[in-house]
Amino acid sequence: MLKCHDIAHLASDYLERQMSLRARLALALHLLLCGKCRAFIQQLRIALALYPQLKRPVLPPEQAQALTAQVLRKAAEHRAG
Amino acid sequence: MNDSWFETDTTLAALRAGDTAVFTQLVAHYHRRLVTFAATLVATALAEEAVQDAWLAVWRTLPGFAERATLKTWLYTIVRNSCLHCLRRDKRLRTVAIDAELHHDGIDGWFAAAFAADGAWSQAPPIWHLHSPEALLEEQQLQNCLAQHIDGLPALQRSVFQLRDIEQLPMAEICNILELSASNARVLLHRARLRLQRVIDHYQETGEC
Repeated sequence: MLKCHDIAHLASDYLERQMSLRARLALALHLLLCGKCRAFIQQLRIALALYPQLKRPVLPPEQAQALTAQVLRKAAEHRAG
Repeated sequence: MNDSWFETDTTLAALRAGDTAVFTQLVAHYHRRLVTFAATLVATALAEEAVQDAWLAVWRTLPGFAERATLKTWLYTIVRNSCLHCLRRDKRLRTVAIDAELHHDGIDGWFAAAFAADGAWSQAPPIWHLHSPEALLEEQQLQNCLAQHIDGLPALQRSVFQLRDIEQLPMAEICNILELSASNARVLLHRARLRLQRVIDHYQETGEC
């Protein structure tokens, strides 16, 4: 029988379906009986849905243009040998 | 504009054809994220330089981009190669030992405190009053706090976390990019997630970072 401690170790593998069917069933059985572990897994699930939506920094247009100009200049130098 | 826009046939065709306006958009969209990733592989001072070198390689090889992977995966792979090239040129390398990361990331201490000797919780996980991703996203202070703690993750954990949980790349591609075994990548990722989970727990309990 899995312990709560094991669930905390295996939580990512469970959510990403990276475990055998037997192990998955054992974990699901534990979750059925343990509200604390259900809360833990649910909170991890919420966090995993949050992370891809975190703001991602973008480069201001003028800096992107300057960087592109630098790339084009270096590419031309490279072609010229 | 989002990641998937750069994966469309029209955009890829423009990039292959050398459309500098679209290339500039690509640079604007990905540059800072790639620098963040590079900083997990090389010293911070080298990361910007490594990514600038990578953009030159991207520009020169885009006409032959064969879509064996997504453009995003390809960009991260080129940045990784550029970092390795920088490391050979410069000794300011960041050598990362997985074992060292795993023994000094605080997670073993959390396990010891959170669970009793019989393996049961010592105390219940805190109750979250913000219990949806949307509710969490509205908390700007939490976003800043998470950004700060993501930056503070050990280097390899940060690499895997960025590529998997933020960029959503498949694990197999992440293992290729970082040259990690699947089992090591999974352990690093899970420990990063547990650390950040503690950050959200703390915010939910106290309203503070």
